[in-house]
Amino acid sequence: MDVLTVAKHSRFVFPFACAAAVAMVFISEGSYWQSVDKLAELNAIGAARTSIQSLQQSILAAETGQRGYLLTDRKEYLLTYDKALKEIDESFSFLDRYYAEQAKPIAMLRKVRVLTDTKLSELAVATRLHDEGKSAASTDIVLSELNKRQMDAIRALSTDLLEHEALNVSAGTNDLHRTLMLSRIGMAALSAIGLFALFLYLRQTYALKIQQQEQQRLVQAERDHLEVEVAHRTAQLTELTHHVLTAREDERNRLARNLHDELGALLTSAKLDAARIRSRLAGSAPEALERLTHLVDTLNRSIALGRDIIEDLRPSTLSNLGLVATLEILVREFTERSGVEVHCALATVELGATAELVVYRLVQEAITNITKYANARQVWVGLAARAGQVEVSVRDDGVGFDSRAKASSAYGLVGMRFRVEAEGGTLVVVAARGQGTLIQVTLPQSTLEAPHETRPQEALA
Amino acid sequence: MHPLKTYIVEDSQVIRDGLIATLEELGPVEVVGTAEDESTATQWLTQPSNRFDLVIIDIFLKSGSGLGVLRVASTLAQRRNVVVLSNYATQDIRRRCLELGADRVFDKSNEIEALIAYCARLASGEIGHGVVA
Repeated sequence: MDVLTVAKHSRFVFPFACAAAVAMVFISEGSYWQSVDKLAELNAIGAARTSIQSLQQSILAAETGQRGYLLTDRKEYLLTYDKALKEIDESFSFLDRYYAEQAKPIAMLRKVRVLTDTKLSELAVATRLHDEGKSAASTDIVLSELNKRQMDAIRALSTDLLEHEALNVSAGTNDLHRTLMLSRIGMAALSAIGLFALFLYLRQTYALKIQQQEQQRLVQAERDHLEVEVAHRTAQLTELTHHVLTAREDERNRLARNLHDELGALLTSAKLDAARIRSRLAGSAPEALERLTHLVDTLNRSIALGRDIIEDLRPSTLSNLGLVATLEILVREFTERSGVEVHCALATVELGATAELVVYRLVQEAITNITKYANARQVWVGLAARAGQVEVSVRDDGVGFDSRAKASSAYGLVGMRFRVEAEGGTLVVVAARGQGTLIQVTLPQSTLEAPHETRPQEALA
Repeated sequence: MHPLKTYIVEDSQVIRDGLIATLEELGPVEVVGTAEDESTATQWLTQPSNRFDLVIIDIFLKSGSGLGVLRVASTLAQRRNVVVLSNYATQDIRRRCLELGADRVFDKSNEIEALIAYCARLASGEIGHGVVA
């Protein structure tokens, strides 16, 4: 189906349909005007036939009127005669106009005219003779064989003319029929073409719709796939972050433990030795005692340094005294250092060891930020359990920042967010320039009992 | 003067050895036992046949916590001298330890001399809850 495949394209179908509509209008108009012309022609033919018949009748009427007059001498018959003459003139003038451009009928008409004129002049002569009292001569003319032949000739010619017109009528009728038939066929054909075009159009529309639906389905499928992929990647990223953070804390923990256990023990042992040496040297060697004091001092500074490093690596108070006490210490140290007033509302909450560390680091980071940027006078730190969730908040009345300006990375918030999300929690930052900053974290409450290796506050409870 | 019968709870071998040697050399101290973890320590301390005057407790142990040992030691039927020797003698640790019944808290790094002096005064009967006869 070559036509179908070609017509499938809308750029063919639409002009095709347009052309069909235009053709339909042309055919309809053409046949209409042709029919109108043909009907007018048939009308004219009818008028001509009537005129020929009326001519025949008028000639007979003239003869009848003349004979009536000859027989009765009554003037009424002359009136009929005169009227008939007038009607004959009218008929001829009409037929002359009508046949003006038709060679054959005009010749026939002229013959009729000649015969009629002859006949009428004979009638006129007979009437004059009668009026002059020569009735015998008049009667001769009336009854002459010539007279009868003339009338027959006129009748025959008239009949020929009528037959000619009858032929014209049948030809015109045939033409009309043909025109109407052609119009009918054309209309039917174009209607069929129109229907075909409509069918193609609908088919195409349907195909297009199916195609669109298919495309939509594909797009949706792709979107779903991407969503799943994104969710998957996000989960992976969170897991990875959790892993990295855990590994980092583990590493710090291990380092802190090693420093404490090994280095701390060695330094303490050295100090014990120094104490013993001091006891033995007492009073005997003052210079050596001076060096020993210096040595002990150096040891003390090493110990202090080691302790700072260890404390920074892993807040020992967190495992010893718990989250609340550790946060209190953190806040107190901050207050002592900066002079900023801190309001604490800290309740004991159930959190796993890593989550506690996250909270501690979060508050630590927030306080670092406040120290560096906020220029705050007051700070509020909150820790509470609510509906199975642990809520942590740090708020200050400092300069704040535009949280929409993506400056969050500069404030270490991205790191905080990852830590919190890795623990299955959420972090919200509410900040505006000049209106302080609020960091709010929600973490799921731990369902595990004492995940710590050492939880003194529980052991002591 | 009776030597001060002392029990040491400390997980570091190096410190333990140093502490025993130092205390025994500098003061009239007799170390009667040591432990590396909470459970061993509490078990020994709650044994009525074990006689001791002083318990020196480190907070970080191999397992468990020195705070647990402290609680047990300070609630024994007979009141003993209980001191904490910690690497983390911060204000809070000190406060918490004293609340739990510690007589004194010493910092490992800079209060060793004070501990030795304290032991000497305990042994002389100058202070403390008395010495076991």
